[in-house]
Amino acid sequence: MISILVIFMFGSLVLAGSFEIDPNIWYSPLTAAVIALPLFLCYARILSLVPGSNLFDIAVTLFGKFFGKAVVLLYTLYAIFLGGVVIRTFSEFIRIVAIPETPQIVIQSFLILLSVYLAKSGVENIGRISRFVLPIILAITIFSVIIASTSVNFENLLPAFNADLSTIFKVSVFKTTFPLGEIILIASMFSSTEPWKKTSKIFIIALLIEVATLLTVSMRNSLVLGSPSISMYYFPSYEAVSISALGEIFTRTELLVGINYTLAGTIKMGICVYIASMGISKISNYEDMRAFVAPSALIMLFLAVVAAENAAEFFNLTNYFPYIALLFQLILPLIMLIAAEIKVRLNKPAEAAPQGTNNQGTGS
Amino acid sequence: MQEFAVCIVLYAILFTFDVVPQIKSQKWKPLWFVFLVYISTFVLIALIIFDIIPRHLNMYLVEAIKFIFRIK
Repeated sequence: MISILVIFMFGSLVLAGSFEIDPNIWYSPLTAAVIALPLFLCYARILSLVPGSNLFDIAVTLFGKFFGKAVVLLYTLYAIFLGGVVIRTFSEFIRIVAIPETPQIVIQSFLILLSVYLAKSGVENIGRISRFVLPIILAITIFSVIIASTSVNFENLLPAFNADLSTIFKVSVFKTTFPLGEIILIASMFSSTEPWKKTSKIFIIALLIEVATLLTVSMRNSLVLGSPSISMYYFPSYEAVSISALGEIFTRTELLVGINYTLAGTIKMGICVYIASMGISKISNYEDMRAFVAPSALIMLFLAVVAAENAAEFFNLTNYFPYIALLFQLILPLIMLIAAEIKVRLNKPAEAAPQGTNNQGTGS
Repeated sequence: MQEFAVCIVLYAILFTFDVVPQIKSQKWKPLWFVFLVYISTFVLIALIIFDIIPRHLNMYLVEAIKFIFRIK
């Protein structure tokens, strides 16, 4: 599960550092982690309060059939939206860095076919492929840092603490919602029978791996490109590695970064398709979610096509993601947590009463 | 036109490997939704490809967010 959580967050790594509000705040992953930690604990608590149920089941259990399914519908729409965004991001990435003349629908079609295949192969296979891919992605990230170390300028990290608190908060919230908080969707894939401490441990380990990687990538980009240049690129990580070379042997290593992005992005797309189809199957009371995999992917394709006229418009749209994420990552989970806590506390005396009666009966 | 051809190929592949097995195994219940999505997305994407619908969804989304959160 840790692998899936980390890979899901890595899927947005392609946008790491692009269009920073203030590129001087290279330490923003750390401040984002401080905001994300309570959120992650909240998600883990929700899962452990209703054991054996995923987020969709929990919503129906807590709010009843009608309102529960309305919550499921909202999260399904969020998964579709996120999937559309990821597909568009990757088609833009591939188009900009590799094949600028090819129509985007060609790239998007291949991505759709791959994500449909991945989602249809089931959650176990998504888990297996995530476990296989995670070490590769981490190794490539470390290797890219070593390569980039030849062209670093430590003065680029300064001035580090120049920004005011409101800007730091703004950047941190952006980083929290995109990509850290997105893992609320993963909660709809899994159920937990473990106590809160064990479930939250999984979330915290995933958060630590993600934050460490984001911080490394953010520092590498700042050290190589410098703060004003970072905000000029759509994909600063790719640019940072492309200008670095280790002697004459390791050159053009940005291809590895491209592989990294594509691996994580494809899995993230597959997960989004899987969650969206799960949501539709839950709403329609039809057990076989695989029937809805291709339709979910096609809606994502439509969203990816219609999202924006060009790359500049699309990347401008990403600045508004935190506002959309607020409802799904903060408001709805908080309402669910409060409802779950109340339900558990109300059920406890009811469960204890018959037990007490039985004990009395046995004793007499 | 190239884009439209690619779109037809994508839908043909998905239809063959997704919808046809469902029809063969007589799983009728989800098919109304599947057909609805296939037809509506295909028509909408075709309209976008031929520039009948603009690719400006982001404008409406951004305006809606600006209105809800009172952003200037």
